[in-house]
Amino acid sequence: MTPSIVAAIATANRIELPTQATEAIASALGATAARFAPGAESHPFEREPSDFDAALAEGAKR
Amino acid sequence: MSDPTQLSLTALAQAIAKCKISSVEAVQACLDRIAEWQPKLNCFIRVEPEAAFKSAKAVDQALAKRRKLGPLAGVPLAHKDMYYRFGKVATCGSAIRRDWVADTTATALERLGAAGAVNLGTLNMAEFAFGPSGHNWHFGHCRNPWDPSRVTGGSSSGSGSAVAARLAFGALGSDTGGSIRMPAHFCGLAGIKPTTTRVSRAGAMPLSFTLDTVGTLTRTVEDSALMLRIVAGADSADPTASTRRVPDYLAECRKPAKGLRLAIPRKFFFDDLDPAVAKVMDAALAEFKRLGVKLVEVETPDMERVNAAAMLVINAEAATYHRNWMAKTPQLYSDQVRARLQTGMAVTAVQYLDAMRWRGQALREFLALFAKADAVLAPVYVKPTPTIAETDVGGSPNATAIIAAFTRLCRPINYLGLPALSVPGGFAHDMPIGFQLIGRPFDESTLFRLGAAYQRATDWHTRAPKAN
Repeated sequence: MTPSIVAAIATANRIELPTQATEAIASALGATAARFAPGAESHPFEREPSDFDAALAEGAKR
Repeated sequence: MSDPTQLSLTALAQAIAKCKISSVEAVQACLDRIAEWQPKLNCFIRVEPEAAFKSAKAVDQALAKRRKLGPLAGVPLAHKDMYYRFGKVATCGSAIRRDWVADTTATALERLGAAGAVNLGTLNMAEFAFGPSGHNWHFGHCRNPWDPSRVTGGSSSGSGSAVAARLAFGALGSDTGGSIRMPAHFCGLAGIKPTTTRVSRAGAMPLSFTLDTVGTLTRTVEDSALMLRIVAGADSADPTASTRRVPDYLAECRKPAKGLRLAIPRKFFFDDLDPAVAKVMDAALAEFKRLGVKLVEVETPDMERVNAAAMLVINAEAATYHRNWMAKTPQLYSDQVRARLQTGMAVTAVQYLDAMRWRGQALREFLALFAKADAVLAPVYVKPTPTIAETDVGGSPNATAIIAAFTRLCRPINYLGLPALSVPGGFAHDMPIGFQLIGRPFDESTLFRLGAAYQRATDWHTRAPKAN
């Protein structure tokens, strides 16, 4: 994530952002995304968001 | 009865049902306390004495005629100002909705009303429930009754402050990243964040459609059990609400804790604990051991990663809800909320969807802990209660770190969709300290069983702040 991408997204959403804010957002979001950073092994290719509902139902069974 | 406000919700409901006290007397006692405390705490946004007395009189008259009423008949409650009530303003703690009138009533409010509860008014909250400390730059910061210079925690700040000060017997809150558990912790209350979808969200202001949960703050675990039983369950107005049977949580509270197993995840959850907070945690664990609960040390999966995924989801979904207002009236947001929504705008579709599709796997990894235990015990917040002044950082660069510190131990549980119950566990530096019990999906029963057994053996929940 770079400040220019943040600025482009803001423009697309009709949001006014000062340059300083684009830099701060790019930095904060970059740090968060890096901590999440899915790897191929731990994040199987086949998973979809609906997989969570199945996991929740499985977890409810004792 | 000398002072009905000192009763628990459950005890008051029984006293009213047995005509030992009238609902009108209970409402009057609450209003007297509100008049005394509200100027110090700023926990109410709107007080509605006329409507409260009208409801209370109707309950008293029905009881005089020996009519059978609901389990909350005549009990005065108040709720976070984000639950819509038809024809009434629901500010959501914001300038944008300062005069917005709801055109529907939240299912949770309808169910509490059907159970006979009396509504005292609406409670302060973080702007659009997007703040963990209890600050509100539109309606004024909410203050902690144990020390008004200190935070209440948020976003259900008024719910925590009002119930702890004995101004109402219980309150609805909402929890997207700790917004029930933190005010419960900081104010010395029981707070239940149920499993995702356990309670209908119809008519509740949304923040994150994936992570939002409706729950309660009360003085005792039993009170939370009673309220959750009433508001939980399927709802045609919210197709996402679970259709699973709702157990009799109050009956679960009466079961002993002996033989249950508690997992202790030292890594991550117990990192960097203030010594006084650590002492409270140690004492709570020792108490559970005395109750016959087996303590099991466990290792969790990478919770920092879970937290980061949760941040991506909440920021993106909140920005989605607020996109139009952010484009048209950005000046009406506080600096802090506007800055957080701007960050959410910049989350890419790929980042968001990756965070969403990892959720099932993250949950499965965490659920592995339950092979060894029935519930997990963890702190809610690692430091002593901060002051309002030292955490009043607005939208400054410090805000990100301060918000992350507040929510660090709570937000992962929202991402995992699990139930968690915050329970008062003692005091550090004269302020209440809680711990959270985290359970399997839809197993709020075990949390209530553990929490109620702990409260039968301790008296932290009976201590009340003094007015001075």
